[in-house]
Amino acid sequence: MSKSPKFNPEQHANVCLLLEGTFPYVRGGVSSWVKQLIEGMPNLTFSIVFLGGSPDEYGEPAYDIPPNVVHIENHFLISADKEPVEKRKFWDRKADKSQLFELNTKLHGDLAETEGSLNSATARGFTTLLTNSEAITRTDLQHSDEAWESIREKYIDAPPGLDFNHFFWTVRTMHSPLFTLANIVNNAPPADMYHSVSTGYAGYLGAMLKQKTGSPYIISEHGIYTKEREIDLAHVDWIPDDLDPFRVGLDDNMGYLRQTWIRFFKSLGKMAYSSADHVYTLFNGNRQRQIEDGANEKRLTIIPNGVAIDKLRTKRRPADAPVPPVVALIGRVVPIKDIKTFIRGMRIVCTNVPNAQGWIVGPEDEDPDYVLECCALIKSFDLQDSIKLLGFQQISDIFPKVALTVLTSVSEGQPLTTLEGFAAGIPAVTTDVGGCSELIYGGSDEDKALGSAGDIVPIANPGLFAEAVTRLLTDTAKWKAASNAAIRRVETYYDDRKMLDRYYQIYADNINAARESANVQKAGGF
Amino acid sequence: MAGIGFELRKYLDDDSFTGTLKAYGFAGLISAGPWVLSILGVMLIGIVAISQKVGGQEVEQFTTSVTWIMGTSLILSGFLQLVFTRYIADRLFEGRDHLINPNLFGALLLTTIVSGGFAVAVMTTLFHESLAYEMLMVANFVTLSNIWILVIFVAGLKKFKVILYSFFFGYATTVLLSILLIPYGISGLLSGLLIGHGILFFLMLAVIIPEYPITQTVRVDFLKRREIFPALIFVGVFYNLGIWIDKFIFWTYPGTSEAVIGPLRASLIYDLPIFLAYLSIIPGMAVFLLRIETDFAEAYDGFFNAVRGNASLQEIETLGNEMILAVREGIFQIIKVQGITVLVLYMLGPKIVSWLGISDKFIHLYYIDLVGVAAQVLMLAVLNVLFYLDRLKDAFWLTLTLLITNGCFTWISIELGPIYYGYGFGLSMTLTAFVGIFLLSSELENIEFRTFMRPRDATTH
Repeated sequence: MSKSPKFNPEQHANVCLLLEGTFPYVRGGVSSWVKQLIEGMPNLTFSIVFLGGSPDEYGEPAYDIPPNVVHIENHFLISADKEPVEKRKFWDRKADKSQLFELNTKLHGDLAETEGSLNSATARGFTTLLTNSEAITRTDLQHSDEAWESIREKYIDAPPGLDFNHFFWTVRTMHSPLFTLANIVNNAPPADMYHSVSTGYAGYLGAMLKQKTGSPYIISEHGIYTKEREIDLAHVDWIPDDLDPFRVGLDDNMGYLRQTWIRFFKSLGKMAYSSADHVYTLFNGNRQRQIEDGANEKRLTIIPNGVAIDKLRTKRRPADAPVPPVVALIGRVVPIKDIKTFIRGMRIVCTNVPNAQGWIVGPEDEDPDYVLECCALIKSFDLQDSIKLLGFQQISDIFPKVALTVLTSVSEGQPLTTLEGFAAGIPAVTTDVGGCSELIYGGSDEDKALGSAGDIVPIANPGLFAEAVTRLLTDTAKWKAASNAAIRRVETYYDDRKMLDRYYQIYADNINAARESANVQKAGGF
Repeated sequence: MAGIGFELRKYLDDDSFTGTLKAYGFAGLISAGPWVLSILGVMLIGIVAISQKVGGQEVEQFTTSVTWIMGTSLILSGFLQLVFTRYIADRLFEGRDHLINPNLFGALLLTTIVSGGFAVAVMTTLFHESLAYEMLMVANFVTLSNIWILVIFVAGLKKFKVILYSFFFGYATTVLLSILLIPYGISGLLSGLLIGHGILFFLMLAVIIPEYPITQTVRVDFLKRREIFPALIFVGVFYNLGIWIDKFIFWTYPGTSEAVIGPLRASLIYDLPIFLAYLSIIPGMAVFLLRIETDFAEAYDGFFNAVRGNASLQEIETLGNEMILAVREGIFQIIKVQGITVLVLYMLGPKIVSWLGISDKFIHLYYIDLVGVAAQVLMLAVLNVLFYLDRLKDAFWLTLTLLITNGCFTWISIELGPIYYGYGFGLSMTLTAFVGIFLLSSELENIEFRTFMRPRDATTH
């Protein structure tokens, strides 16, 4: 655990948020959503467990911390938390952990054999293994005979001839963060309920916390964690010389190890789903994927994103004002946003539309190599004057200057920037990923009747992307119609007050339920 | 594979009897050569002196003085020897060659200051000899301490031939000068020794320095806390003290020794047999070097490349077994060859002893010393493999066993009486060799597990 701007581990909070790689250190849609949620409920207190990769990846918080956040603790999954070294006097008998490892093998078997929904007993079994007084520890994983035997047995199941070195370190690297999670659970920040904003390690942390504390636990999933990790893992192949020794296993070209990682993340997801009291997501496509990944349909609810419409209304363009031929991609400069397709598409747009500009608005610190590649691409097209990387900007400053917001992402949830653009009367062109088509064309029939707020194009297709952008930039009537549809859609379905009301209700119900059951317990009811 | 392994492999692959013989001969020369040369050198000076019919007492004073400074300088430099070579090995592994020479200079400077200070302090407090004698002793002590640091540095670079030639020229000079300088008594002999050692030292230095970027800076990075594995200090001191402690006990115990010069004493009955026995290490050392530098080094590289590379577990296990086989084969060969050597020298024992004019009463001392020295070769081989495998903890326990058993057993043997003399050393070396083999076999058993799950145990980094 490392210190943070607000560090009061004893401080009780109403809601403890479990955040993996997002708020308050990393900018992005999920982080903005978290901030919105916290600021929207000033009468509730929040604590935050932040899970990051390695400490040197994060500097100062990227967001101001709202005053109702009472405690933040940071944990880093790649470089393990410092923990007391197990010192055993040599005359003490070594604890026999063979039974624990047998149980571990059995539970892994359950994970491997279960298609779809998992019994929550499996997650509970693992939590017991990790957090009981007699537990499997990091030292056991790294040094014990039993762990070695377990790894060998798993290796025998792998395709013959598999590189053992990478297999070994893959197993070790992926499991190592679980011991960090176990430490968090054993010193859990006190809260009425726990809320993770993804599955993955944070999701499994929630499952452990629920079992250990008995408090309610919910998940809100924006992007689908396992899907995003799959994309990350696939991306690793594209740059084989980018070797990071701490991510050994991610960086090798063997499909089997990649599959192992994906299975691992899916298993974490299944355990989180099976333990959570309820799971929320943004739109129907995600819901389907969650069901496939083992979430229980009965405990799944859709709550779309919401934006502060009143604030953005002021940024709308007067009806007679000219629309500048400027297109903004608002998002982090990372491969998942496929910025290169945007650049290639804008190259075509620039030849079609005189004075057209493409702006890339978003933080550039997450993947510096990718940023350099993008700059090189722009330079190779000789379009430095037309396509610009502006870095992080206040979006309210950007909206009055642009005609369209666009996304060329290969994966999205329900992009907040698109909705914010809508609130400012700006249509969008996005790829057909996540909940984007619901945003542009509408979900329900009444929603569809509002008209299309822009256009949807296939991923990785600069030609079609450029066509759609050109159409909206050149056809003023079409742009006006899309702008009106955007405003009507966002006002009807994506008002942040609705989103906040629903979450407030969820928090209130869970907190009350938790307090009641605590009172019943105190009164000797059980 | 280092150059030396390549050269040895070339002879071995010749696949003829002479090829194999050449390989062993070469290995014997470069491994035991310096050791044998230094013993022979000092003995030869004695013989020269006797043939010149000059002061027998001064010759005895000379050999005793030389033996003392050899033993004490080895122990003193033991503090630094392994720490320094480990630092150098790590830098070479990283390819930071520019740090080599500045740190070598730093190590030599440090050695000079510490050994010089130590020698001056001892000379001014414990000795009341002529100024010439005391100054020559200090100079010789400082030179020898530096030589040991340099030798282990050069040996770490596997440049055994450089060591051998330097020793040869150094001691040849010493012996020749002794003929000229003997009229000047002990000061003359010590001067000859100083010049010879000086030549030895600068020859090695001259060959080694140009191998790495030359800068006129002196650095002592090897003393930084994070560079130091404390175990290496202990191993260096325990080892050198361990193989000298029996001699010191015999030299200082009144019943087995006599005062020779100043506070320095010698044990006539103990010294000659044991230094004679040390000459028998040549065959064992030859086998040891040959096996370590060829089969074992190859198997070691194969195994660890597989561990770090893309090999399957089956391949890793196969290569691990090959490495174990190479170690086992090497140890058996040392036992066989050194065993035969001991037998031959045992049978020739009465002749040698009578030829050298040692009292028959102490011939058993020579016999048991032969066994002890043979066991010492075995222990040395085991220790080396432990270093290769980076098992410093085992090396620590092994050298501690050596020090304690040799000290205790020697003391007990003196208490038990003259017919037990030498058994302390013999028993201690044999026991230590067995302990070493036991430690090594438990280390090699399940080598894959230990490599992956028990990485280097001296992690102060």
